[in-house]
Amino acid sequence: MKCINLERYSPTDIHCGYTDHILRIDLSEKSVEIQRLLPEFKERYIGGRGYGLKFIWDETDASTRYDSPENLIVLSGGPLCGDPRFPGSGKFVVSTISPLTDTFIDSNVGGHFGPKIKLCGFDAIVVKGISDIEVVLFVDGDRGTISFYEAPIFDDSLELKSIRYVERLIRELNGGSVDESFAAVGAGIGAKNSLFGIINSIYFDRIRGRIRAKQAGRGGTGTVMRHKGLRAIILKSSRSYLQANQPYDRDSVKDAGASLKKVISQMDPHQLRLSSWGTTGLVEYMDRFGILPIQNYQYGSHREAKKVYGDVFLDDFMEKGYADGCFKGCNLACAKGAKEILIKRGPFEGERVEVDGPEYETIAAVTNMGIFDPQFVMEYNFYCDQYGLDTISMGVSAGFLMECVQRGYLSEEDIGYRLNWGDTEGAARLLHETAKGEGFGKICSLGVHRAKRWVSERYAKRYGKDPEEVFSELSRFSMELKGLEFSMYIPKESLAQQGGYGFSLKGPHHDEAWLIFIDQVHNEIPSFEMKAEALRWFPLIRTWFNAVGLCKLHWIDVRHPDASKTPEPSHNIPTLRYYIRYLNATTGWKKDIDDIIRDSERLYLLQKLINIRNGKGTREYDLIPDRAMGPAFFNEYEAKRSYYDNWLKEKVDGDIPNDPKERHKMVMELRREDFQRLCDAVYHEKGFNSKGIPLPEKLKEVGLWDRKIEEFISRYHQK
Amino acid sequence: MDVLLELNGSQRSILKRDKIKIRLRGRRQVKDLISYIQSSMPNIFPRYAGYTVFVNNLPAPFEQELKDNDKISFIPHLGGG
Repeated sequence: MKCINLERYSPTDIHCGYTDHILRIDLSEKSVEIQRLLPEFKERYIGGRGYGLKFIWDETDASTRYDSPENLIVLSGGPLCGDPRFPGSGKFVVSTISPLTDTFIDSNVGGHFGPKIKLCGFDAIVVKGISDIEVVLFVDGDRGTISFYEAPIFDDSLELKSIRYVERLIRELNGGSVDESFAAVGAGIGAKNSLFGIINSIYFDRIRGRIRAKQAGRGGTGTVMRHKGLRAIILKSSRSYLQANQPYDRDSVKDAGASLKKVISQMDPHQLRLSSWGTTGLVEYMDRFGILPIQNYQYGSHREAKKVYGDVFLDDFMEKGYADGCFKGCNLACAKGAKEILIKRGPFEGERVEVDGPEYETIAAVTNMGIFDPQFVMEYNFYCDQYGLDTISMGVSAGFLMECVQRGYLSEEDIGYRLNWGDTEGAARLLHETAKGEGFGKICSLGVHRAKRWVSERYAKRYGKDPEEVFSELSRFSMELKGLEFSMYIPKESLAQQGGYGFSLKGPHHDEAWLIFIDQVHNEIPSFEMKAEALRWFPLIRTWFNAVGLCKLHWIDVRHPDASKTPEPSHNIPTLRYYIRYLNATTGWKKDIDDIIRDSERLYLLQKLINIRNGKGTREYDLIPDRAMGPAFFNEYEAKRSYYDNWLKEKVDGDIPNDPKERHKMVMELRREDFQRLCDAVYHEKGFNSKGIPLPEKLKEVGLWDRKIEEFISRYHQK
Repeated sequence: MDVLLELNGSQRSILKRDKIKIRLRGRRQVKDLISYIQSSMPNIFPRYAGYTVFVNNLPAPFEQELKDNDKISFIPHLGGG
């Protein structure tokens, strides 16, 4: 491999979870700068998403788009990232300006890369600029070198298999072998040719003896990386993870971690069973309660869904008997994998391959296309990961286009082939074309929002209609908001989840507030006020997880046996106390839950400010499409007529129209009103005005107030 | 009185069945059924496990009276990572 530039440095030791140094990379100049951070910085911005927010707020502006040279990619774990004594500590966050939403996006991902950033001596890697040639960055913490290499072209096959490509890079740098001292991120051909490209987090699984990958999937982070000309970042450090964080109180870290591990061992086997099934077990519950997306979220359950329940993948595909955590010390171990999967379609037909997954979201992305074939799920998973495509955005975009066919907005002639519900051949062809930037895949690769524009203009021209009118028609069933595709849960029967999606700052992803089960199924937040309060609290606590470098699953998907004795069982406070103990034992701070909520609120509001600055922060961008609120079309109403009629009777206290079409219309009108009322209530809870702009006193309350913010926010309050 | 216990996820996987018919004698509230199931299938429905009990697809309080042919299921708490 051809080295373009090599710089030497001395890796800083970690102290109480931090190195207080960041690595800055300028791809335009192929230069390196190591910046020391003042102690106040970490106290205000914590790490992970918080660091991404601060750098992007300071160093980009309203005109910055994903492909602007000044756009940043910030990769950062956080103070609690990287200690195997506490489970789920392998997470890091990728932050950037998204090609889909044109505003801040972050995506969290597991693996060894986050911990290795710190072992190499940094709290974050911040990348700017655009390289004139494709490059690979190699940070060798053992030797103290940072090198730029010209990205080699090995062969055509590896150009399509981005995980394998990165493995080959590591072998080239390491005399032909790969081991645990390496971790990497990479972006594939799908990231080059679509707006929803992912970043793969690649690590060596010593137990399986092979390279594995987790994905920073949402919002097109890989697209930005590839556009910058950066094929991969490879980190090397042989330092022990057990020495990593140099915590303030090692024994307390160990004790907090042991307490959480004990709860997981006791409870998970009788709850979701993530340690055995991964997240595939969710399919069954979502199908049962009408939450599983079928045919672009038209329906929430299906008689054939059993074909893709978790036990099918466990029995027929997954490797069993392995400790599966994506990072050391995790006994929830949900990162399932499969090997020797025979590929039956596409460019690698006939090959037997390894697949990391499937996750629930990937399975649901496939049912969203009306497909219930587990073999197809495995292939879809394999190709999306290797190409570098987000399985969610791909499945939602394909589902939207299939519904355009169903409703007559697109024809076979427009597409070039059949693209109907359940059509595995059409869906596979669309996937390959999207990754390669060919044929109709070029339209799919734009994501739902931009594809909607293309379809409406084409249809309007053909039938002499107003394109804006057609765009509005399509918006009723296009499952996107702020430009991001919805994640894989149908919120029609949960007002709280409608809010969870609508108010989510990055766009409709459940990372901020996944309230659907506690609302729709367990009925733990029955009143309007409780839903509004949940929509304030959950985004804040979840923000904290993304700032410190921790996985949320151990807290949110394994309920502590004592949680039922607390006033808010869904907050799972007994488990959260272990996290607080871990935080204080690592950093030496003395924080309680109120303190971390306040820290999170500062970050949350900073993200809101970026959204406002970039044109996605006001009320109209929180309004979800009809399809997310209820039965957008009559066929959806008919499929659950009894439920909607009962809901209507309760709502109007008795008399409802005789005509089902009138009832359907009334359901939708009332649901739109409910959502607007929810907006008012939640904005009040969050300290926003009715347009969704934070009030100055709220910003001051969390210490987010300086001359720049004052000038910025006053413009919006004057409007 | 007969009720139908619907099995989900790991329960279904371990018992290799979708449902079990249970004949209840004596007291007939949800808590009586829970007590019976926890004592007869402790490995599958341990006392400390965090479930909500559903009767005919609706969350049910422990004091709810059961009726013949009611469908019962135990749904774990999911929070969504």
